[in-house]
Amino acid sequence: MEDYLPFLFRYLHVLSGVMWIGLLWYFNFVQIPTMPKIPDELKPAIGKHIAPEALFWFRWGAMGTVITGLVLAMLNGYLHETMTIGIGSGYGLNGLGIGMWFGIIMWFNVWFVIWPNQKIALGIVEAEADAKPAAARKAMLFSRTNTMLSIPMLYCMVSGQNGGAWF
Amino acid sequence: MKNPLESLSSTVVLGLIITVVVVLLVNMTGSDAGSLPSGMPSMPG
Repeated sequence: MEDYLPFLFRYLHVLSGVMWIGLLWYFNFVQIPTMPKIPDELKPAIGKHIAPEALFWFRWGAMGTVITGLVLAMLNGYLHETMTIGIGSGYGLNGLGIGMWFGIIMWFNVWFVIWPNQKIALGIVEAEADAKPAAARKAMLFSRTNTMLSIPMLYCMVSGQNGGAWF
Repeated sequence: MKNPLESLSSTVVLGLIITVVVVLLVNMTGSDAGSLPSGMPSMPG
């Protein structure tokens, strides 16, 4: 069982990570660029139905990814070294740790910036009408930030399992 | 000046630049840098 737990948490980490990053890239590569092309009368199909559903799986995918990732690091005995990114270890900077911190920053953005602003932008919570465009823009910029960070994050994650990625 | 994150392609380019910076930083700090800490296998068994 002890040998199986790290594998189980790695599997759960990848499952939730695919859910999270898949939806992040859907928002940024598909939904945001397509919205301007949609006739106004059809936009509620996205705003009222698709986006809220996608945001639910998106934010809980993020939560699952971070929790299972931290548990995995703890089970494998490198939680401290990765969270300190190797500073003071004598082995230099820890690439996997840098990637983990990118992921934690991305998780924070999801739960404390993107989701609160999307609730305003989509009318899920009450807000002044003129607050919605600003909230939508803020959510978009932070979602773009996460897209940007997902690229080095995934490199660092894969490099943790492939020592040759660091030359 | 326009925010580069307004553009998806600029966003991707910035992500790639950050990746290169991280690779260079990790490689500059030591020959063992970047791999998992020694003593624990990365996979069970």
